[in-house]
Amino acid sequence: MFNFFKKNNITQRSIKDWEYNLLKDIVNNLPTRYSFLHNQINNDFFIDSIDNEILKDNWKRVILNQNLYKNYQDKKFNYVIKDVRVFDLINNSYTSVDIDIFEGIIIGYKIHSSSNSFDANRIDYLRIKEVKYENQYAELNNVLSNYEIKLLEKKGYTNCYKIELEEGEFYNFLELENGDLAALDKKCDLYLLIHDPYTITFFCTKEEIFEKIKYETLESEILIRYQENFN
Amino acid sequence: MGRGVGGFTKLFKGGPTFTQYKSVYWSSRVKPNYAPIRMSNGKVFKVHQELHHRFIPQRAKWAPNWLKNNRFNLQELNTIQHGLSDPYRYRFFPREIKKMIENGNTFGY
Repeated sequence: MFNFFKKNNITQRSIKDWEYNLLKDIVNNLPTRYSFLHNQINNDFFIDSIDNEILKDNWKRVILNQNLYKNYQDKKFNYVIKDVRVFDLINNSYTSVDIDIFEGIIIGYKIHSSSNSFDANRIDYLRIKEVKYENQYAELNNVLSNYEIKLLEKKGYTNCYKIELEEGEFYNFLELENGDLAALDKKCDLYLLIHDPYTITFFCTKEEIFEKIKYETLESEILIRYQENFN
Repeated sequence: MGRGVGGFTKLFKGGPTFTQYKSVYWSSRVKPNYAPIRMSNGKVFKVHQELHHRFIPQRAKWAPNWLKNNRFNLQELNTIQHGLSDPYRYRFFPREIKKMIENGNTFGY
């Protein structure tokens, strides 16, 4: 009788069942070079999807289980798999589906049709192509060599969005805890950006970044210095 | 006498550091799930669960750690909510996210 008072754990998902199943069929059958994606669409990790308010145009972004994120994360992969074609039963023709990959994880997708009925047995991968997010370091091209850019990309330091502060422009390098960041300035020197107490602290020069990457000590040194701020 | 000095020190300087508090706090909690935001320049803005010092900020040097780092002063917020509550946190948002928020879109948070 007290079941009435129990918390209702059934939550309404935005993603439709057909949409979830279609994505699962598409992803699970991607060519073997994408095998790291094969098991990502499961109820534990892939929680839901919602509209991408910035990209719009049918792009969805995926709500992921943050507690499992690191199990799937591989920072090397950052691109869109375009033109997976799936047969649309309403329009009686093939339509494209794009899958957005960031840090080796499916974070978004786009179905190029308003249909809701597809034939999962007719998925065509012949025309798929990887579209990389080119030139992630465009604004630092004058201070970074091609070799250095490739090394940063290989190590997964590609998400360098710009942060505009009174102190100057910075580029995200590594997200720390609680909204604090390690970020590059225009000379590619590395700083710790801490919001409380608000401080911009020099960490190391560009040359030292690559030295520390070489010896694989960069992230641990950043974290140690970061935590010293709160002791 | 010694105990008195120790108590005095504890009152004005004691308590867990923010690093220590966060470590213990998150060890027994499950973080909520959020969707990363791919922006039009191809970069990704990640949304996390964060801790916000709501009454006494971390920068308050006069306040002892026990007064700053406790469950009444620290509030769980996601990245967007944190930025809306704390202008210092907001500064670190990229322009496109700020623009969306200024236009009234808080990404459902």
